[in-house]
Amino acid sequence: MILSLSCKIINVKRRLLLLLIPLFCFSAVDGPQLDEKNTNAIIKSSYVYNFCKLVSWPDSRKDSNFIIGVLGDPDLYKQLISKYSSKLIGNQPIEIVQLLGTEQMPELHVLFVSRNMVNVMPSIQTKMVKAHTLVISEHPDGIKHGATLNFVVIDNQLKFEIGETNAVNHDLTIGSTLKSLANKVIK
Amino acid sequence: MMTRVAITILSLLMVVMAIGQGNVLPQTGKAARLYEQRDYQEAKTLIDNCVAAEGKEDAYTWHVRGHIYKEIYKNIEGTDKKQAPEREIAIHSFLKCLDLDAENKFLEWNKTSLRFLSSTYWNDAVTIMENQQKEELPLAEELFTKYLRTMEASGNTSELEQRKLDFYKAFATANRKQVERMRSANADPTEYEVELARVIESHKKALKINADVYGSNYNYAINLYNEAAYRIENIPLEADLTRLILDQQGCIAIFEEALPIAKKAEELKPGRIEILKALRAIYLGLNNYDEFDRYNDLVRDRQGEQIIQKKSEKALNRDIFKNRLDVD
Repeated sequence: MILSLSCKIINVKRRLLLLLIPLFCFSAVDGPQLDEKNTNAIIKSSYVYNFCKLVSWPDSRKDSNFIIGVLGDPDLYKQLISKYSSKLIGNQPIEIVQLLGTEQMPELHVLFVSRNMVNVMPSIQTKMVKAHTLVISEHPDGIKHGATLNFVVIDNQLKFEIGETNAVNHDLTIGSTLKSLANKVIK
Repeated sequence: MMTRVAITILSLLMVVMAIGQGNVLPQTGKAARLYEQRDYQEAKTLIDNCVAAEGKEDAYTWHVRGHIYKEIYKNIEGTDKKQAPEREIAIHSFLKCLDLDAENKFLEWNKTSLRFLSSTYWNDAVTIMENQQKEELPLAEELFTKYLRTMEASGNTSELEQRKLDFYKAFATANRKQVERMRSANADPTEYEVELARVIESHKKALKINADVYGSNYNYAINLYNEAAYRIENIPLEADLTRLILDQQGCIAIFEEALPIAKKAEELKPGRIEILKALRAIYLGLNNYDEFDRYNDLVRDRQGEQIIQKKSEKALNRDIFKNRLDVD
Protein backbone atom coordinates (compact mmCIF):
# COMPACT_ATOMS: atom_id res chain seq x y z
CA MET A 1 0.00 0.00 0.00
CA ILE A 2 2.76 2.38 0.92
CA LEU A 3 4.50 1.70 -2.36
CA SER A 4 1.45 2.36 -4.52
CA LEU A 5 0.75 5.52 -2.61
CA SER A 6 4.32 6.62 -3.06
CA CYS A 7 3.97 6.19 -6.82
CA LYS A 8 0.88 8.38 -6.85
CA ILE A 9 2.65 10.95 -4.74
CA ILE A 10 5.60 10.92 -7.10
CA ASN A 11 3.32 11.57 -10.05
CA VAL A 12 1.80 14.53 -8.27
CA LYS A 13 5.22 15.75 -7.26
CA ARG A 14 6.48 15.58 -10.82
CA ARG A 15 3.89 18.15 -11.73
CA LEU A 16 5.29 20.33 -8.98
CA LEU A 17 8.83 20.25 -10.32
CA LEU A 18 10.30 23.68 -10.65
CA LEU A 19 11.74 24.66 -13.98
CA LEU A 20 15.26 26.00 -13.97
CA ILE A 21 15.53 29.55 -15.24
CA PRO A 22 17.62 29.35 -18.38
CA LEU A 23 20.64 31.59 -18.72
CA PHE A 24 19.52 33.22 -21.97
CA CYS A 25 20.58 36.63 -20.78
CA PHE A 26 24.16 35.45 -20.58
CA SER A 27 24.37 34.03 -24.07
CA ALA A 28 27.24 34.48 -26.48
CA VAL A 29 25.86 37.78 -27.82
CA ASP A 30 26.25 39.17 -24.34
CA GLY A 31 30.01 38.61 -24.34
CA PRO A 32 32.62 41.28 -23.75
CA GLN A 33 33.46 43.59 -26.63
CA LEU A 34 37.09 44.13 -27.47
CA ASP A 35 37.97 47.67 -26.45
CA GLU A 36 40.92 47.90 -28.80
CA LYS A 37 43.35 50.69 -28.08
CA ASN A 38 46.77 51.58 -29.32
CA THR A 39 48.33 50.90 -25.93
CA ASN A 40 51.79 51.23 -27.41
CA ALA A 41 51.06 54.81 -28.52
CA ILE A 42 49.55 55.67 -25.13
CA ILE A 43 52.66 54.53 -23.29
CA LYS A 44 55.00 56.16 -25.77
CA SER A 45 53.18 59.49 -25.39
CA SER A 46 53.69 59.34 -21.65
CA TYR A 47 57.37 58.51 -22.16
CA VAL A 48 57.82 61.38 -24.61
CA TYR A 49 56.26 63.86 -22.19
CA ASN A 50 58.59 62.64 -19.44
CA PHE A 51 61.59 62.88 -21.76
CA CYS A 52 60.68 66.51 -22.43
CA LYS A 53 60.68 67.20 -18.70
CA LEU A 54 63.95 65.41 -18.00
CA VAL A 55 66.10 66.87 -20.79
CA SER A 56 67.45 70.44 -20.81
CA TRP A 57 67.63 72.55 -23.92
CA PRO A 58 69.97 75.52 -24.38
CA ASP A 59 68.62 78.88 -23.19
CA SER A 60 68.19 80.02 -26.78
CA ARG A 61 65.39 77.44 -27.11
CA LYS A 62 63.49 78.41 -23.99
CA ASP A 63 61.50 81.40 -25.13
CA SER A 64 59.11 79.97 -27.68
CA ASN A 65 56.51 77.24 -27.83
CA PHE A 66 57.88 73.80 -27.07
CA ILE A 67 57.43 72.04 -30.38
CA ILE A 68 57.18 68.28 -30.68
CA GLY A 69 57.13 66.86 -34.21
CA VAL A 70 55.84 63.40 -34.99
CA LEU A 71 56.96 61.65 -38.14
CA GLY A 72 54.76 58.62 -38.78
CA ASP A 73 52.67 57.00 -36.04
CA PRO A 74 49.47 59.07 -36.28
CA ASP A 75 48.17 57.40 -33.10
CA LEU A 76 51.06 58.78 -31.09
CA TYR A 77 50.34 62.21 -32.55
CA LYS A 78 46.68 61.90 -31.50
CA GLN A 79 47.66 60.79 -28.00
CA LEU A 80 50.06 63.70 -27.59
CA ILE A 81 47.45 66.15 -28.84
CA SER A 82 44.69 64.83 -26.59
CA LYS A 83 46.78 64.48 -23.46
CA TYR A 84 49.59 66.97 -23.52
CA SER A 85 48.81 69.80 -25.93
CA SER A 86 47.63 72.02 -23.09
CA LYS A 87 50.64 71.30 -20.88
CA LEU A 88 53.80 73.29 -20.35
CA ILE A 89 57.45 72.30 -20.38
CA GLY A 90 58.87 74.81 -17.95
CA ASN A 91 57.12 77.97 -19.08
CA GLN A 92 56.79 76.86 -22.67
CA PRO A 93 53.40 75.77 -23.98
CA ILE A 94 53.58 72.48 -25.83
CA GLU A 95 52.79 72.50 -29.53
CA ILE A 96 52.49 69.23 -31.38
CA VAL A 97 52.89 68.96 -35.12
CA GLN A 98 52.42 66.02 -37.40
CA LEU A 99 55.07 65.87 -40.10
CA LEU A 100 54.41 64.34 -43.46
CA GLY A 101 58.04 64.21 -44.56
CA THR A 102 61.48 65.60 -43.91
CA GLU A 103 61.48 68.27 -46.62
CA GLN A 104 60.03 71.17 -44.71
CA MET A 105 60.72 70.76 -41.05
CA PRO A 106 60.05 73.51 -38.56
CA GLU A 107 62.46 74.21 -35.75
CA LEU A 108 61.64 71.42 -33.34
CA HIS A 109 62.51 70.71 -29.73
CA VAL A 110 61.63 67.06 -30.16
CA LEU A 111 61.35 64.91 -33.24
CA PHE A 112 59.83 61.46 -32.94
CA VAL A 113 60.56 59.16 -35.87
CA SER A 114 58.36 56.08 -36.00
CA ARG A 115 59.66 52.61 -36.80
CA ASN A 116 58.23 52.67 -40.31
CA MET A 117 60.01 55.92 -41.12
CA VAL A 118 63.47 54.63 -40.27
CA ASN A 119 64.58 55.02 -43.89
CA VAL A 120 64.52 58.80 -43.49
CA MET A 121 66.88 58.71 -40.51
CA PRO A 122 70.03 59.43 -42.59
CA SER A 123 68.48 62.57 -44.11
CA ILE A 124 67.28 63.64 -40.67
CA GLN A 125 70.76 63.15 -39.30
CA THR A 126 72.10 65.44 -42.01
CA LYS A 127 69.42 68.09 -41.57
CA MET A 128 69.53 68.11 -37.80
CA VAL A 129 73.28 68.15 -37.45
CA LYS A 130 73.36 71.52 -35.71
CA ALA A 131 69.81 71.66 -34.44
CA HIS A 132 69.00 71.56 -30.75
CA THR A 133 66.50 68.83 -31.39
CA LEU A 134 65.96 65.73 -29.33
CA VAL A 135 65.50 62.98 -31.89
CA ILE A 136 63.62 59.97 -30.58
CA SER A 137 63.51 56.81 -32.66
CA GLU A 138 62.26 53.25 -32.24
CA HIS A 139 64.66 51.17 -34.26
CA PRO A 140 67.43 48.80 -33.14
CA ASP A 141 69.99 51.08 -34.84
CA GLY A 142 68.32 54.32 -33.80
CA ILE A 143 71.26 55.64 -31.78
CA LYS A 144 73.64 54.75 -34.61
CA HIS A 145 71.43 56.77 -36.95
CA GLY A 146 71.72 59.87 -34.77
CA ALA A 147 68.85 59.57 -32.30
CA THR A 148 69.47 60.73 -28.74
CA LEU A 149 66.78 58.53 -27.29
CA ASN A 150 65.67 55.23 -28.76
CA PHE A 151 62.75 53.01 -27.74
CA VAL A 152 63.62 49.34 -27.38
CA VAL A 153 61.49 46.37 -26.42
CA ILE A 154 62.92 44.20 -23.66
CA ASP A 155 60.81 41.33 -22.32
CA ASN A 156 57.76 42.79 -24.06
CA GLN A 157 58.27 46.08 -22.25
CA LEU A 158 58.91 49.40 -23.84
CA LYS A 159 62.20 50.76 -22.53
CA PHE A 160 64.63 53.33 -23.85
CA GLU A 161 68.31 53.80 -24.43
CA ILE A 162 70.30 57.00 -24.50
CA GLY A 163 72.86 58.07 -27.09
CA GLU A 164 75.03 60.32 -24.93
CA THR A 165 77.29 61.53 -27.74
CA ASN A 166 74.27 62.46 -29.84
CA ALA A 167 72.91 64.46 -26.90
CA VAL A 168 76.17 66.39 -26.63
CA ASN A 169 76.19 66.98 -30.40
CA HIS A 170 72.79 68.64 -30.15
CA ASP A 171 73.68 70.60 -27.03
CA LEU A 172 71.14 68.75 -24.92
CA THR A 173 71.60 67.81 -21.28
CA ILE A 174 70.17 64.50 -20.19
CA GLY A 175 68.98 64.53 -16.58
CA SER A 176 70.32 62.03 -14.10
CA THR A 177 66.86 60.51 -13.49
CA LEU A 178 66.52 59.75 -17.17
CA LYS A 179 69.98 58.19 -17.24
CA SER A 180 69.28 56.06 -14.21
CA LEU A 181 66.08 54.67 -15.69
CA ALA A 182 67.49 54.02 -19.17
CA ASN A 183 67.98 50.48 -20.31
CA LYS A 184 71.35 51.46 -21.71
CA VAL A 185 73.45 54.64 -22.00
CA ILE A 186 75.53 54.50 -25.17
CA LYS A 187 78.59 56.71 -25.21
CA MET B 1 -4.58 26.77 -8.96
CA MET B 2 -3.00 23.54 -10.19
CA THR B 3 -0.35 23.85 -7.51
CA ARG B 4 -2.95 24.22 -4.77
CA VAL B 5 -4.83 21.16 -5.97
CA ALA B 6 -1.60 19.21 -6.10
CA ILE B 7 -0.64 20.26 -2.56
CA THR B 8 -4.05 19.22 -1.26
CA ILE B 9 -3.75 15.82 -2.90
CA LEU B 10 -0.25 15.51 -1.55
CA SER B 11 -1.31 16.36 1.96
CA LEU B 12 -4.09 13.83 1.86
CA LEU B 13 -1.79 11.18 0.50
CA MET B 14 0.75 11.88 3.18
CA VAL B 15 -1.83 11.43 5.93
CA VAL B 16 -3.16 8.26 4.30
CA MET B 17 0.40 7.07 3.98
CA ALA B 18 1.02 7.80 7.62
CA ILE B 19 -2.06 5.86 8.62
CA GLY B 20 -1.06 3.08 6.24
CA GLN B 21 2.24 2.80 8.03
CA GLY B 22 1.44 0.85 11.10
CA ASN B 23 4.38 2.10 13.08
CA VAL B 24 3.99 5.86 12.63
CA LEU B 25 5.08 7.72 15.70
CA PRO B 26 2.14 9.51 17.28
CA GLN B 27 3.82 12.93 17.20
CA THR B 28 4.76 12.46 13.55
CA GLY B 29 1.19 11.45 12.71
CA LYS B 30 -0.11 14.58 14.41
CA ALA B 31 2.40 16.76 12.58
CA ALA B 32 1.36 15.19 9.26
CA ARG B 33 -2.29 15.98 10.02
CA LEU B 34 -1.40 19.59 10.88
CA TYR B 35 0.50 19.74 7.62
CA GLU B 36 -2.62 18.58 5.82
CA GLN B 37 -4.55 21.37 7.55
CA ARG B 38 -1.82 23.76 6.43
CA ASP B 39 -1.03 24.68 9.99
CA TYR B 40 2.64 24.59 9.19
CA GLN B 41 3.90 26.53 12.21
CA GLU B 42 2.20 24.17 14.66
CA ALA B 43 3.32 21.18 12.59
CA LYS B 44 6.88 22.54 12.71
CA THR B 45 6.90 22.76 16.51
CA LEU B 46 5.65 19.19 16.80
CA ILE B 47 8.00 17.70 14.25
CA ASP B 48 11.03 19.54 15.67
CA ASN B 49 10.28 18.08 19.07
CA CYS B 50 9.82 14.69 17.51
CA VAL B 51 13.16 14.62 15.65
CA ALA B 52 14.85 15.74 18.83
CA ALA B 53 13.45 12.74 20.70
CA GLU B 54 11.73 9.53 19.59
CA GLY B 55 11.76 10.38 15.89
CA LYS B 56 15.50 10.89 15.76
CA GLU B 57 16.14 7.72 13.78
CA ASP B 58 12.78 7.48 12.03
CA ALA B 59 12.92 8.02 8.27
CA TYR B 60 9.25 8.92 7.93
CA THR B 61 9.50 11.60 10.65
CA TRP B 62 12.38 13.26 8.81
CA HIS B 63 10.45 12.98 5.59
CA VAL B 64 7.41 14.73 7.06
CA ARG B 65 9.68 17.38 8.55
CA GLY B 66 11.19 18.00 5.11
CA HIS B 67 7.74 18.64 3.65
CA ILE B 68 6.66 20.91 6.49
CA TYR B 69 9.75 23.06 6.16
CA LYS B 70 9.49 23.03 2.41
CA GLU B 71 5.96 24.46 2.58
CA ILE B 72 7.04 27.08 5.13
CA TYR B 73 9.88 28.07 2.83
CA LYS B 74 7.55 28.30 -0.17
CA ASN B 75 5.22 30.62 1.73
CA ILE B 76 7.99 33.07 2.61
CA GLU B 77 7.77 36.29 0.64
CA GLY B 78 10.21 39.10 0.12
CA THR B 79 13.94 39.37 -0.28
CA ASP B 80 14.73 37.32 2.84
CA LYS B 81 13.51 34.21 1.07
CA LYS B 82 16.86 33.69 -0.66
CA GLN B 83 18.56 33.16 2.66
CA ALA B 84 15.71 31.55 4.55
CA PRO B 85 16.99 28.77 6.84
CA GLU B 86 13.77 26.81 6.27
CA ARG B 87 14.97 25.72 2.85
CA GLU B 88 18.17 24.33 4.31
CA ILE B 89 16.31 22.60 7.10
CA ALA B 90 13.96 21.01 4.56
CA ILE B 91 16.95 19.79 2.54
CA HIS B 92 18.72 18.52 5.61
CA SER B 93 15.56 16.63 6.62
CA PHE B 94 15.12 14.97 3.23
CA LEU B 95 18.79 14.00 3.20
CA LYS B 96 18.49 12.58 6.69
CA CYS B 97 15.48 10.59 5.53
CA LEU B 98 17.54 9.25 2.61
CA ASP B 99 20.15 8.06 5.11
CA LEU B 100 17.67 6.36 7.37
CA ASP B 101 15.38 4.95 4.71
CA ALA B 102 17.05 1.56 4.34
CA GLU B 103 14.18 0.14 2.28
CA ASN B 104 14.11 3.17 -0.04
CA LYS B 105 10.41 3.70 0.64
CA PHE B 106 10.77 7.44 0.25
CA LEU B 107 13.68 7.51 -2.17
CA GLU B 108 11.98 8.90 -5.26
CA TRP B 109 9.87 11.30 -3.27
CA ASN B 110 12.91 12.60 -1.39
CA LYS B 111 14.84 12.99 -4.63
CA THR B 112 12.00 14.89 -6.28
CA SER B 113 11.71 17.24 -3.31
CA LEU B 114 15.44 17.76 -3.20
CA ARG B 115 15.49 18.48 -6.91
CA PHE B 116 12.72 21.02 -6.41
CA LEU B 117 14.56 22.74 -3.56
CA SER B 118 17.89 22.73 -5.33
CA SER B 119 16.18 24.27 -8.37
CA THR B 120 15.12 27.17 -6.16
CA TYR B 121 18.79 27.75 -5.34
CA TRP B 122 19.63 27.80 -9.03
CA ASN B 123 16.77 30.14 -9.85
CA ASP B 124 17.68 32.51 -7.03
CA ALA B 125 21.28 32.58 -8.22
CA VAL B 126 20.19 33.34 -11.79
CA THR B 127 17.77 36.05 -10.62
CA ILE B 128 20.54 37.75 -8.66
CA MET B 129 22.81 37.73 -11.70
CA GLU B 130 20.03 39.08 -13.91
CA ASN B 131 19.20 41.86 -11.48
CA GLN B 132 22.82 43.00 -11.46
CA GLN B 133 22.84 43.96 -7.81
CA LYS B 134 26.53 44.26 -7.11
CA GLU B 135 26.24 43.54 -3.38
CA GLU B 136 24.25 40.37 -3.99
CA LEU B 137 26.62 38.75 -6.48
CA PRO B 138 28.60 36.79 -3.86
CA LEU B 139 25.28 35.34 -2.71
CA ALA B 140 24.65 34.04 -6.23
CA GLU B 141 27.80 31.94 -6.00
CA GLU B 142 26.91 30.80 -2.51
CA LEU B 143 23.46 29.70 -3.66
CA PHE B 144 24.90 27.94 -6.67
CA THR B 145 27.27 26.03 -4.39
CA LYS B 146 24.25 24.96 -2.33
CA TYR B 147 22.48 23.93 -5.52
CA LEU B 148 25.44 21.74 -6.45
CA ARG B 149 25.75 20.25 -2.99
CA THR B 150 22.06 19.40 -2.85
CA MET B 151 22.01 17.87 -6.31
CA GLU B 152 25.10 15.80 -5.53
CA ALA B 153 23.80 14.65 -2.16
CA SER B 154 20.56 13.52 -3.71
CA GLY B 155 22.30 11.71 -6.53
CA ASN B 156 20.98 14.04 -9.24
CA THR B 157 24.31 14.48 -10.94
CA SER B 158 23.64 13.85 -14.61
CA GLU B 159 23.57 17.49 -15.77
CA LEU B 160 25.83 19.01 -13.18
CA GLU B 161 28.91 19.55 -15.35
CA GLN B 162 26.88 21.46 -17.90
CA ARG B 163 25.21 23.44 -15.12
CA LYS B 164 28.60 24.33 -13.67
CA LEU B 165 29.80 25.48 -17.05
CA ASP B 166 26.66 27.57 -17.61
CA PHE B 167 26.88 29.10 -14.17
CA TYR B 168 30.56 30.05 -14.30
CA LYS B 169 30.14 31.62 -17.72
CA ALA B 170 27.13 33.58 -16.50
CA PHE B 171 28.82 34.54 -13.25
CA ALA B 172 31.81 35.84 -15.21
CA THR B 173 29.44 37.89 -17.37
CA ALA B 174 27.52 39.29 -14.39
CA ASN B 175 30.72 40.39 -12.69
CA ARG B 176 32.21 41.66 -15.92
CA LYS B 177 29.20 43.94 -16.36
CA GLN B 178 29.89 45.38 -12.93
CA VAL B 179 33.51 45.95 -13.89
CA GLU B 180 32.46 47.67 -17.11
CA ARG B 181 30.01 49.86 -15.21
CA MET B 182 32.78 50.93 -12.87
CA ARG B 183 35.16 51.55 -15.74
CA SER B 184 32.57 53.78 -17.47
CA ALA B 185 32.56 55.82 -14.28
CA ASN B 186 36.35 56.08 -14.57
CA ALA B 187 36.88 54.03 -11.44
CA ASP B 188 40.31 53.12 -10.25
CA PRO B 189 41.01 49.38 -10.84
CA THR B 190 41.27 48.89 -7.08
CA GLU B 191 37.58 49.78 -6.80
CA TYR B 192 36.49 46.76 -8.83
CA GLU B 193 39.30 44.29 -8.13
CA VAL B 194 36.94 41.92 -6.28
CA GLU B 195 34.56 41.72 -9.24
CA LEU B 196 37.45 41.36 -11.68
CA ALA B 197 38.93 38.55 -9.60
CA ARG B 198 35.55 36.80 -9.80
CA VAL B 199 35.49 37.23 -13.58
CA ILE B 200 38.92 35.64 -13.88
CA GLU B 201 38.21 32.88 -11.38
CA SER B 202 34.93 32.00 -13.13
CA HIS B 203 36.62 31.81 -16.51
CA LYS B 204 39.29 29.56 -15.04
CA LYS B 205 36.66 27.25 -13.56
CA ALA B 206 34.73 27.15 -16.84
CA LEU B 207 37.89 26.27 -18.75
CA LYS B 208 38.77 23.60 -16.23
CA ILE B 209 35.46 21.90 -17.06
CA ASN B 210 35.95 22.27 -20.79
CA ALA B 211 39.06 23.91 -22.15
CA ASP B 212 37.87 23.60 -25.74
CA VAL B 213 35.00 26.06 -25.68
CA TYR B 214 35.83 28.91 -28.03
CA GLY B 215 33.59 31.43 -26.23
CA SER B 216 35.12 30.75 -22.83
CA ASN B 217 38.63 31.26 -24.16
CA TYR B 218 37.73 34.29 -26.22
CA ASN B 219 35.77 36.02 -23.45
CA TYR B 220 38.51 35.35 -20.92
CA ALA B 221 41.18 36.77 -23.20
CA ILE B 222 39.08 39.85 -23.99
CA ASN B 223 38.38 40.50 -20.33
CA LEU B 224 42.09 40.43 -19.62
CA TYR B 225 42.97 42.60 -22.60
CA ASN B 226 40.32 45.19 -21.76
CA GLU B 227 41.59 45.42 -18.21
CA ALA B 228 45.19 46.01 -19.24
CA ALA B 229 44.14 48.52 -21.92
CA TYR B 230 41.96 50.37 -19.41
CA ARG B 231 44.82 50.57 -16.95
CA ILE B 232 47.17 51.89 -19.60
CA GLU B 233 44.65 54.44 -20.75
CA ASN B 234 44.22 55.62 -17.19
CA ILE B 235 47.86 56.10 -16.35
CA PRO B 236 47.83 59.64 -14.96
CA LEU B 237 49.04 62.32 -17.34
CA GLU B 238 51.63 63.47 -14.85
CA ALA B 239 52.87 59.99 -13.98
CA ASP B 240 56.62 60.08 -13.60
CA LEU B 241 58.88 57.59 -15.34
CA THR B 242 59.15 55.24 -12.38
CA ARG B 243 55.36 55.00 -12.08
CA LEU B 244 55.05 54.61 -15.84
CA ILE B 245 57.54 51.74 -15.89
CA LEU B 246 55.81 49.97 -12.98
CA ASP B 247 52.32 50.41 -14.41
CA GLN B 248 53.55 49.16 -17.75
CA GLN B 249 55.04 46.05 -16.13
CA GLY B 250 51.70 45.25 -14.49
CA CYS B 251 49.83 45.59 -17.75
CA ILE B 252 52.37 43.53 -19.70
CA ALA B 253 51.80 40.72 -17.20
CA ILE B 254 48.07 40.85 -17.99
CA PHE B 255 48.69 40.88 -21.76
CA GLU B 256 51.02 37.91 -21.30
CA GLU B 257 48.27 36.06 -19.45
CA ALA B 258 45.77 36.87 -22.21
CA LEU B 259 48.00 35.71 -25.08
CA PRO B 260 47.90 31.90 -24.70
CA ILE B 261 44.16 32.02 -24.05
CA ALA B 262 43.54 34.05 -27.18
CA LYS B 263 45.82 31.70 -29.13
CA LYS B 264 43.76 28.76 -27.88
CA ALA B 265 40.59 30.49 -29.09
CA GLU B 266 42.23 31.03 -32.48
CA GLU B 267 43.21 27.37 -32.58
CA LEU B 268 39.58 26.39 -31.93
CA LYS B 269 38.15 28.71 -34.58
CA PRO B 270 40.92 29.85 -36.88
CA GLY B 271 40.33 32.88 -39.05
CA ARG B 272 37.49 34.43 -37.05
CA ILE B 273 37.88 38.15 -37.39
CA GLU B 274 37.16 38.95 -33.76
CA ILE B 275 39.94 36.71 -32.50
CA LEU B 276 42.32 38.06 -35.14
CA LYS B 277 41.57 41.57 -33.89
CA ALA B 278 42.06 40.47 -30.29
CA LEU B 279 45.44 38.95 -31.10
CA ARG B 280 46.45 42.06 -33.02
CA ALA B 281 45.60 44.16 -29.98
CA ILE B 282 47.36 41.84 -27.53
CA TYR B 283 50.53 41.73 -29.60
CA LEU B 284 50.58 45.51 -29.78
CA GLY B 285 50.13 45.57 -26.01
CA LEU B 286 53.17 43.29 -25.82
CA ASN B 287 55.04 45.63 -28.18
CA ASN B 288 55.59 42.72 -30.55
CA TYR B 289 55.54 44.67 -33.80
CA ASP B 290 56.17 41.72 -36.11
CA GLU B 291 53.19 39.75 -34.80
CA PHE B 292 51.11 42.90 -34.63
CA ASP B 293 51.84 43.55 -38.32
CA ARG B 294 51.05 39.94 -39.18
CA TYR B 295 47.68 39.99 -37.44
CA ASN B 296 46.94 43.45 -38.79
CA ASP B 297 47.39 42.04 -42.29
CA LEU B 298 45.20 39.04 -41.46
CA VAL B 299 42.45 41.34 -40.15
CA ARG B 300 42.62 43.45 -43.29
CA ASP B 301 42.54 40.39 -45.54
CA ARG B 302 39.55 39.05 -43.63
CA GLN B 303 37.79 42.41 -43.81
CA GLY B 304 38.52 42.53 -47.53
CA GLU B 305 37.08 39.05 -47.98
CA GLN B 306 33.97 40.08 -46.11
CA ILE B 307 33.48 43.14 -48.30
CA ILE B 308 33.93 41.04 -51.45
CA GLN B 309 31.52 38.45 -50.08
CA LYS B 310 28.91 41.10 -49.32
CA LYS B 311 29.32 42.62 -52.77
CA SER B 312 28.97 39.19 -54.39
CA GLU B 313 25.84 38.51 -52.38
CA LYS B 314 24.40 41.86 -53.46
CA ALA B 315 25.30 41.19 -57.07
CA LEU B 316 23.77 37.74 -56.86
CA ASN B 317 20.58 39.18 -55.38
CA ARG B 318 20.48 41.78 -58.15
CA ASP B 319 20.88 39.07 -60.78
CA ILE B 320 18.13 36.98 -59.25
CA PHE B 321 15.87 40.01 -59.14
CA LYS B 322 16.72 40.91 -62.74
CA ASN B 323 16.10 37.33 -63.92
CA ARG B 324 12.73 37.35 -62.23
CA LEU B 325 11.81 40.57 -63.96
CA ASP B 326 12.94 39.06 -67.29
CA VAL B 327 10.79 35.99 -66.69
CA ASP B 328 7.79 38.11 -65.73
